[in-house]
Amino acid sequence: MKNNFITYKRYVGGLRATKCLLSIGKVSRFFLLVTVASLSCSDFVENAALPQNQIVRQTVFADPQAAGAAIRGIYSEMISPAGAFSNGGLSSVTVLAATSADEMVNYAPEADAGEFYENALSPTNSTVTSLWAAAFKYIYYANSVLEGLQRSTLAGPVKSQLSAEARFIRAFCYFYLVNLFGDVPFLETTDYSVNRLAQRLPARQINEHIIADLKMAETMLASDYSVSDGQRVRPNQYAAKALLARVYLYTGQWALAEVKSTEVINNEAYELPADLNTVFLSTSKEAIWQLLPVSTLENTLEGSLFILTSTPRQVAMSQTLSRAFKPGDKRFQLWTDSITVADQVYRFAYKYKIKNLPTPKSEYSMVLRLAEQYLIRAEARARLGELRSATADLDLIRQRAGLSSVSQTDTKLSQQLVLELIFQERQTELFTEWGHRWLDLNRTNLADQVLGPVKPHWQKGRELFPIPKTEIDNNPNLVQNTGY
Amino acid sequence: MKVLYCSAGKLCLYICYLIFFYLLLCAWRPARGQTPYTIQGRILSAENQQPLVGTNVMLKGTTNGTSTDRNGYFTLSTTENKVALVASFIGYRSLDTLLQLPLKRELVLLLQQDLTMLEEVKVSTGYWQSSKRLSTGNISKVTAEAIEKQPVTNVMQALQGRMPGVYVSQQSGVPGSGIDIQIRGRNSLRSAGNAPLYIIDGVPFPSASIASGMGGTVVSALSPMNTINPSDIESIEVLKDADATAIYGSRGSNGVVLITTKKGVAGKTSVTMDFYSGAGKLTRVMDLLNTSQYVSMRREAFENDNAEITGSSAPDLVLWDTTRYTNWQKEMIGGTARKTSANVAISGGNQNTTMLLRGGYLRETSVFPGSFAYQRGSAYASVSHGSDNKKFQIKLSSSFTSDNNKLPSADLITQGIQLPPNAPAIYQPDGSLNWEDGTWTNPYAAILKTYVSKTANLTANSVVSYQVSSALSLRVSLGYNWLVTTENRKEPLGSFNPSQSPTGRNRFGNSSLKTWVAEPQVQYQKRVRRAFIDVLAGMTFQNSLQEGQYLYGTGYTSDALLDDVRSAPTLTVVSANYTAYRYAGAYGRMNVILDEKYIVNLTARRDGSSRFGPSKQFANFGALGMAWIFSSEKFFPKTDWLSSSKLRASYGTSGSDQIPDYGFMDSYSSVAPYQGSSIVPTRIANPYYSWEVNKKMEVGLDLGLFNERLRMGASWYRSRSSNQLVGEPLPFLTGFASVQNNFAATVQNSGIEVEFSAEPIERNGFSWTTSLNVTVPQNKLLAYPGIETSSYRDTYEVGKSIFTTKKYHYLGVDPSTGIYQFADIDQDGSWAGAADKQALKKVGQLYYGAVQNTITYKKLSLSIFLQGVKQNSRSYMYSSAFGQTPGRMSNQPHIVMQRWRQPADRTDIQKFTQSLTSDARIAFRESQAAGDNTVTDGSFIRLQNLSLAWDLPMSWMRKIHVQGLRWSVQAQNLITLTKYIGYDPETGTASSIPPLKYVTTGFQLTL
Repeated sequence: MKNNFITYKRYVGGLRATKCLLSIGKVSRFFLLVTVASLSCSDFVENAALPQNQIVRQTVFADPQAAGAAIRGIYSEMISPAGAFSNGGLSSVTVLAATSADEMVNYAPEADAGEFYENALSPTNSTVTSLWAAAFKYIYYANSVLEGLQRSTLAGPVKSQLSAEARFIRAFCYFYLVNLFGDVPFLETTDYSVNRLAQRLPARQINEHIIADLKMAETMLASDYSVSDGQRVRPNQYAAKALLARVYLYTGQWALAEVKSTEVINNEAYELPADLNTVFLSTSKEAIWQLLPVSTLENTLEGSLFILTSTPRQVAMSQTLSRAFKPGDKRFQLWTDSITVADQVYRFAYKYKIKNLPTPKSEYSMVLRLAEQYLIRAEARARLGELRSATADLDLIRQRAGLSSVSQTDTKLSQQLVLELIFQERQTELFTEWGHRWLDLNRTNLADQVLGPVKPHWQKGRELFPIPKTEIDNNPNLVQNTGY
Repeated sequence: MKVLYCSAGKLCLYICYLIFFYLLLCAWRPARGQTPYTIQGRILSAENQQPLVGTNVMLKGTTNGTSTDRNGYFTLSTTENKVALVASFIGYRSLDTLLQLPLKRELVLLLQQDLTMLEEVKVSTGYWQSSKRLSTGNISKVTAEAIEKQPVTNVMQALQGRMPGVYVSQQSGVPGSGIDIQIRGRNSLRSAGNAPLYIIDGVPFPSASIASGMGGTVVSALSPMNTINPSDIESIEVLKDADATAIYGSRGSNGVVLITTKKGVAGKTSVTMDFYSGAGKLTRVMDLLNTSQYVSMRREAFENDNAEITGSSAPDLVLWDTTRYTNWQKEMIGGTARKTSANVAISGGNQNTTMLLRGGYLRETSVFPGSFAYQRGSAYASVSHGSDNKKFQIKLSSSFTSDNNKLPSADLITQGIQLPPNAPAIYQPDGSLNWEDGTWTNPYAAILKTYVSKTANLTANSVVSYQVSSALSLRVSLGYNWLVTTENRKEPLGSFNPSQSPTGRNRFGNSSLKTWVAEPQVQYQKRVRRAFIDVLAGMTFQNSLQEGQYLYGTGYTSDALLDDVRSAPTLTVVSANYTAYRYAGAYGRMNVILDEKYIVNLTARRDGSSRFGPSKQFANFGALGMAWIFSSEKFFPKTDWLSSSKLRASYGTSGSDQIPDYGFMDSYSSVAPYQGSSIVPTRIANPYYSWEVNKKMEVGLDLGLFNERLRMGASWYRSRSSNQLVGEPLPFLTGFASVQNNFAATVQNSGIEVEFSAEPIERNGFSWTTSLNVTVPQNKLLAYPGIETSSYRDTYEVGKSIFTTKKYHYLGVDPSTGIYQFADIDQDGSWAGAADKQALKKVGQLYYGAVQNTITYKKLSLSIFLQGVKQNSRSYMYSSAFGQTPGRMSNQPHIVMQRWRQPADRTDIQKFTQSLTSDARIAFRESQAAGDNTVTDGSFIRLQNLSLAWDLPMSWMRKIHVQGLRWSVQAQNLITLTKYIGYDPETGTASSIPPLKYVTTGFQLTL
């Protein structure tokens, strides 16, 4: 290992300190000593000890275990309570998109949180900045791994698995960036002198990049979860297919969305558990990709934040969401709960059941799950006019929730009605998970129509978040979204 | 590889050892025989016939000497029958007498006070000493006398206002908090890059805290300077200009603070004890709303916003008692802090060997409720030995200090200000903390969550020198410093709302910094005809290693186990740090004094630092200083009133390497394990940055008038700092917020410093001495190519001070809407936007100075020290403690009651609002962040120190068999005159308690 450090040790010519010393004959013996010492002057500085808590990049990508650690580091940071964007906490897509939409009410006194809820975001909002910064940090990490692997001599299979994971992470982060902020710069290098002046790329092109990354990941990733010891905490081939299905759906490529979601649904590793209380467990058979909580204070941040034990200080569920559940919906009974303080009833999301207990980690933070794939396929099929098979997929989700089957009760459903039923189902199935509601409203251009009546401060044009002001300050090539 | 790595450092140590033993060998000389004649005598002051204790008495041309005892007596023996006796005492003229032995009667010698003694004040650069008269550089000095009058915990506080060009401010009144020191302004655009170099007895000392940064602590930075006992300090010198600092090369850019500890004096063994004790309070509190005003503010805010008052939107109005009143300022920060200090010193020795042993203890409590205290114990030892022929000298000194700082985990001033005056009771009837159904965070929870920091500091230094010939001497200085800090931040179960089913947490931090430094030197001094030549050459090798871990234990279910790290159900290593820093340099200095009136001083240094990437590590620095004592010129008319005069000038370069280590290295660091070890990139690496260079220029004039009873000095300086080492801000999309880089920007600091001191009256036991210093600093961003496209375009402006900020120009409250109005410069219909931020406001000092007056009458001495600063500060509105808009659930200064209420109201306070998105709230937020109304006049005049001392009469002391007993009353930060609204214009913040005022009394006893 030490040999790799030699790169940092080069000899510096020039310093011969004796020049600075005047030669005085009488004490030549003393000067001999000083001269010897001065010759080692540059060696002395050059050889300052290397930090023991930092590993030089070449060393990392020369060792398969260390290279694996560099990929795991990205997941660790993504779920870290100190981070933003993907940890399920206050600065995550899950919470911010839920308060921006009609799923959650904000009770936090800080203006930054309130601005999301009131759809009155300012470009100086520090939470917008941390959301943006975190996503781009993970993209930088992924690019750093890709560059490291490119120059490394590691064996082919290791290289291919790790670079596929890096591509998956990059695509995943870009999916949210493009849907929350619109056009964003697409970065494929770690070179800051290039990236710092990057311009926004049209969303259409970003989506092409996402699809290209995911297709590559799909072919290179393992088909099972062997790299993560059978736990579903690192994306595999099917995670890539699942995300690909979603991107095809968002970009109107219905047939492709149907193909990819079918590939996931047909894999026997995934199933819809009948018991709703087992969906978000670490052992969930529905999970396609989960993040393993690294917090020492709780299981998932979602559980810690959503479950109320007294007056809400951060967030609670909105009445709009409560009313969206049809009578008898088991998800209302099992995935939500309420407390009463001073005669006020506060309802909260209860998909994750553990609030404060740090160990054992029995709940993982869900990122991709099978129910969404059924809903993607249902929608894709409905769009393609295959209403019968669409309602069949929809009914699988409804049946599990204890609701009647659509296909049996009414045979004369229009395409419009089927799509509406699917959207209703998405609202009550995927609520407070990864901003599904906010993204659904925006991709279907329904935000104005739906949020207008329930959000008093709603204005048209607030569908996209603003580009953070500091970002525009530091990169003159960035242009603000309209309306900010 | 490993062998080579070790060899460079070890080689250097071996060389130092070799020189050390060589010098020891040279020192050995055989002793001398016995003598028949005895000289007995007494030495008194000619002025008042009092014995001069400790006068040095020598036989001229020999090494035979002694010093006088407590009654001024001495005894010497000799074999000669004709001797020349020399008696010398500091501040008196030396007396040279020829004696024929044996003596016929008792010898009494009277020494005359030397009125020109000020001339002989010695100043040091750490590498050479010079008398103030012959010095070419600008060095300010504060001695123990001034330090001892001030009951301060951190010795840097004692420098406040004492030196021109040196601005010292205290960050907070919390014990152990940091001190900001700016020597001749800010050279670096980086706020962290402006600390001076601290050297204690030749050993570099860290300027920044080494603590782990476990966050949430009451002090932003614990100053390592707290581990130095102020009463161990003999003097502090501040090196300012190029002539004095270029020898420090890369580290001298921001000035050098040299701290010299006390040394033993030859003579009878003396024991000195000093003790003081006193109390401290906040200098002032703010006038906040009472309950009825607060409640009306809240109701009005809801009315203005057309919002409904509910249990969740306003628990203070709905769920809490709206008639209850608590003065939270008094409750949280209104206590009395106590400070007690005690020191004992034993000093003694003879002509060859002197020693000093000192021990000290200090305890300072806080103004917060609860039992919090800062405690410090210190031990210090110093030994000097010289061979009989004075050729060989060895000086050893070492000090060990250990402190223990127990504090609440947050500065309670925030709760003191923000808590609504009708907030609930702290305790429930059963004695447990009241959480009022989770509607508030009980402020006493912050008292139960404690932060304890313990620091130990070991400093050792040895200097060995040998005079090879009358011209040549060799010297080697070896120093070692070991600083260890352990921290503990506890959050017991009892400090949480029990309904949240909490678990306890404890953070465990430890960090250490080990530094060794070795400096071999050779000096050559010779008079060649009319010139005196002094040449010095040497090298520096320094190695620092900083290590630390910070562990986080969570899930404790019992407070009884909270202190035990192994009992933590979950233990996380939050950070592990290992940072090595190496520094090496070679330097030379040549000083030529011609005809005692022309002086040239040339210094050069070549430096290397491991903080830079390969091939960027070394750089050259140098300076030229010149002085002309023109009063010694023949053509200069001889006058009675002008006793000395000197014109001096210097020009040179120094640098700065104050940046984080390893910034050039492309590496990965660990994060929380995710199914095994996990790592992420540490930083954006840039291997190409190099030294920040500061070019300093100075011209000065020093005058002594009326036989040196009036002294004046004036300096003009200009320093230009370029190649700025800055964490260059990057857009976050690059993955990181900044990258280490050099900027082409040039920052200029210039200014005028004037000093004046006089002894106008001295007669009949009455004396008055006075001194004054004034500094007029100026700062300018001279050049910044490409600022228009840089991230600093909205922060700095070329041609203006870097203390200037660009703000929205405040126009007052709009009488029709009741909302703040700012100037719409670009006339785009909105005052918001970077283009509208055109109001330039400087936050910093325009000029500052101080006046010291000391009046002595017989045994009574009164000293008054006043500090004055003309400056702009940030108003209380800027502080995050007042971050809440008036109208929200947070108390406010009384002044908000002058708010706008209805159209046509003319006021400076906008209408109340409780919404987060109302126009009034947005205007408030923008104003707080960028309005020029947040910059106010922060000028103040402060009675910084008042000291009254009384020496007991000699006759009394004889009766109680002591050498000296002095009783004194001292006050620090007693009165501040200012128009500033808020806690303190010096800190300009309401997020931390201001420096306290202290009144103490004590005594000094000499046995």
